[in-house]
Amino acid sequence: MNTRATKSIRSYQARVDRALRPATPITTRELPPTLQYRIAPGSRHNIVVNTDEHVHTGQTLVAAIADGPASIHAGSSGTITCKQTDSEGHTTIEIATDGYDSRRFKQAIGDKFRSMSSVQLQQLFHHNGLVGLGGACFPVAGKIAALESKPASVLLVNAVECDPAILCDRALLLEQASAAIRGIGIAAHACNAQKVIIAIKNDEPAIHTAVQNALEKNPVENSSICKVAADYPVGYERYLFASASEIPVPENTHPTALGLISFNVATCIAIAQLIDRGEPLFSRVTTVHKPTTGAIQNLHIRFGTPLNHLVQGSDTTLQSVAYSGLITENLPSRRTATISPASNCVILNPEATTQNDCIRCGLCADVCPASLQPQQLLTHSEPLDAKQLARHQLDRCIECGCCDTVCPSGIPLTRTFQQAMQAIHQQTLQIQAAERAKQRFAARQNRLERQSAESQAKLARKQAALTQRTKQSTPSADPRKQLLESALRRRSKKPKTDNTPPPP
Amino acid sequence: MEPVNKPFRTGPLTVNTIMLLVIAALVPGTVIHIYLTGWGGLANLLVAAAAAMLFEYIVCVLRNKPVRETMGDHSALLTGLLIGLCLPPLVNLWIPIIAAAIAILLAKHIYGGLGNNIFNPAMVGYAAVLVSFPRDLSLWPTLPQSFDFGIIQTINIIANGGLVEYTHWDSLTGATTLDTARTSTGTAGQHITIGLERWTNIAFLCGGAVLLRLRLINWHIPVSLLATLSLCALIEQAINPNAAGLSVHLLAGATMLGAFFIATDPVSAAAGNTGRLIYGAGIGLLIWLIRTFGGYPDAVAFAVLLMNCTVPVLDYLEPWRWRK
Ligand code: SF4
Ligand code: SF4
Repeated sequence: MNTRATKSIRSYQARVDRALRPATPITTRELPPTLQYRIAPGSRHNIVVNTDEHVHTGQTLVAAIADGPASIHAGSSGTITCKQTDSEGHTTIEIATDGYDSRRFKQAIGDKFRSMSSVQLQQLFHHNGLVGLGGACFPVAGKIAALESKPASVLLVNAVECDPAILCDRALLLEQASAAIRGIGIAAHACNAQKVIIAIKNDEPAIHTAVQNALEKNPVENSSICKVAADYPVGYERYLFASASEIPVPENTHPTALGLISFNVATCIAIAQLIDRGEPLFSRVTTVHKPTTGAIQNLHIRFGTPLNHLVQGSDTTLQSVAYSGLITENLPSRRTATISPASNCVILNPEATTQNDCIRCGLCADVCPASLQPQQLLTHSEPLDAKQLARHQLDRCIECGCCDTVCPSGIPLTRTFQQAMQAIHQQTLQIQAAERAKQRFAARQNRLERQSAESQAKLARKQAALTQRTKQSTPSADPRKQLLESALRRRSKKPKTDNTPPPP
Repeated sequence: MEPVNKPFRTGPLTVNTIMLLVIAALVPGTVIHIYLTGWGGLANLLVAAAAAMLFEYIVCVLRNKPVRETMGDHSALLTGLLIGLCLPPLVNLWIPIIAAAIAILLAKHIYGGLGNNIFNPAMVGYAAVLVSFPRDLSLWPTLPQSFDFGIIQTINIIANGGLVEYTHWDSLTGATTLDTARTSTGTAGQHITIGLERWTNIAFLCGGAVLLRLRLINWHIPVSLLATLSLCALIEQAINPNAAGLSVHLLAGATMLGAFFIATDPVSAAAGNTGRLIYGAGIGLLIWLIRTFGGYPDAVAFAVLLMNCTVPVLDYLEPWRWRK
């Protein structure tokens, strides 16, 4: 990352940090009247509840699929309504909460986890809805499975929340450091980690103390704390591996291929809760900003809570929402109307600024950690020019949002790139589908030709056999044939009428 | 409830701040310019800036743009100031107005407004009046003219057709340094001294250095421009010792203004670093060519406009692949 970028973003970060730094404790909100889970279309879901069924908190709503999505669990006790597909083919499961929040968890495993194998633990994680809570929501079991049962050389615990507006991991570390350490120990066991690195920001002494104290009480083997410079986007997995474990991860290589695995602290806490309390994952801590009132809260919220619910009580209504921190932004597909595992931060009713045309100042190129030319990418994104975008290496964009942050014209560059990437992905899929169709057609054509050739050959063989047989037998041998031949002869002797066509 | 489609972050810089900082960096050079050109120079600046802002306002209304936001970016003010800085004092009142009109209406808004213009608006306006009123624009009074003419007299002159109409004051006008350089090339033994405009140039250089320090402009364009120009001047001088030397090329005319404030206009300049280097070098070379062989005393405007034409190609070739 170039130094100018670091400086520029750092000064911005410092400004924002000063405003947000006051510690924000985790608070819980009362349950909303309904929880909604929107299940994407496709056969890779297995909904196991029916309308009007009563569920308990933590009960499985959608079962996990091996090598697929993890399970989804009820965030509250209540009555189910399954709404069938909407325009995009999603199914919505709604829970009308009954207000009792009656929990029925499976039995806690506790320290017995040490005798469980990695595969058993993966199963357990997968069927209890554990997904990464850092924003990418990748199933935990899938991530461990990607190690292909080799021991992980490094387990990196990502406690570096580099976006200045996202404060949930920070609050979790300050308040639940021991649970985090417990979870880290379990995760290390699950991936047979040889080394555990807990990466924290170097400008947060309080967090350092909290983590260190928790580690002393409950030591994790081969673990160390690594302080990294708090420059955005250091929390980006690839960069964090480079700065905390000094193992560079080449582009196009997934860290797990090198035996590197990383978990967010919130994920580790979820693991600890599952093992020690039997609690599946159905809630998370989300940083909620309300710029209209200036409020910043770290709320412990159940997944499926409608965002509307978060503004209730205040006199405003929810008109707009930004699914992001101040610099990062969630993928378009993760911008849901409810809290999801990806919602690490939401900004409710953000103040929109005006957007102008690009003045090509180049500030965005200066801060891009991937050394791209965002303004050129922008030119080629609208209208979409996939060839030029590939030339400018759009695929290397990590969607960090640094370029947006410095753009004096207020252009949402990252979002434009995300859309462009999506569009290109669609195009590639279409091309692939067309290619497959073409291949199928060619194969069918081939098969038909082959079949007709075969049948012709068969026919020819039969005919040949027939002629052979005819030749072998004398013409007079078959009385029916004689009759036929004589009839034909008689007919040809008949005088021709005028309108009969001449014989060919 | 809608996901926001508009940006909600306010970055450390906005277009408006950038423009204001650039204008602030222009101030020292402008002050010296006014000191040298007197009320006439000040009148140019005021008229051009006012006209540019007026036209911007009219266009905003016509294009249904939010006036406060569009005008708030101060780019029209900057364009007007740059035009004013290029014009000789005591020109016809209409010349800065026409230049501003062409700059704002034709060069900027016809293309879609700030950010979409291919050519540097100020330079288009200046070049248009330069080719349309060659006599008016070549009449530079001997500097420092300072405040020899009072306000009333200045207004009288510019309102009545400018200095060209007052032939009996011919003695007042003199050849600028670059004029001398151009006409004197080849005359042995003649030493060209740079007029007081060197101070303007030095002031613009300082202003430019501040912009560089604040990272509002990249070093690539000014450095490659000045390096190329110096190189050409040195080679020329090596061949012909009587030619205008390095210092003349660097400190006379609008070199520094061009290098730091005009060529670096991001909208019309190349966007990538390699492109910027080539763009700056092209301007440097063209300035030298036009000054040495061309028919115009100064060349910054034409050089910048010519290189503006190449920007789409320079950008298209970005990222440059030197090796396959
Ligand atoms: S920072 Fe914004 S205005 Fe500047 S070049 Fe990049 S996209 Fe354009
Ligand atoms: S979002 Fe992409 S283009 Fe923008 S700064 Fe980050 S990596 Fe660069």
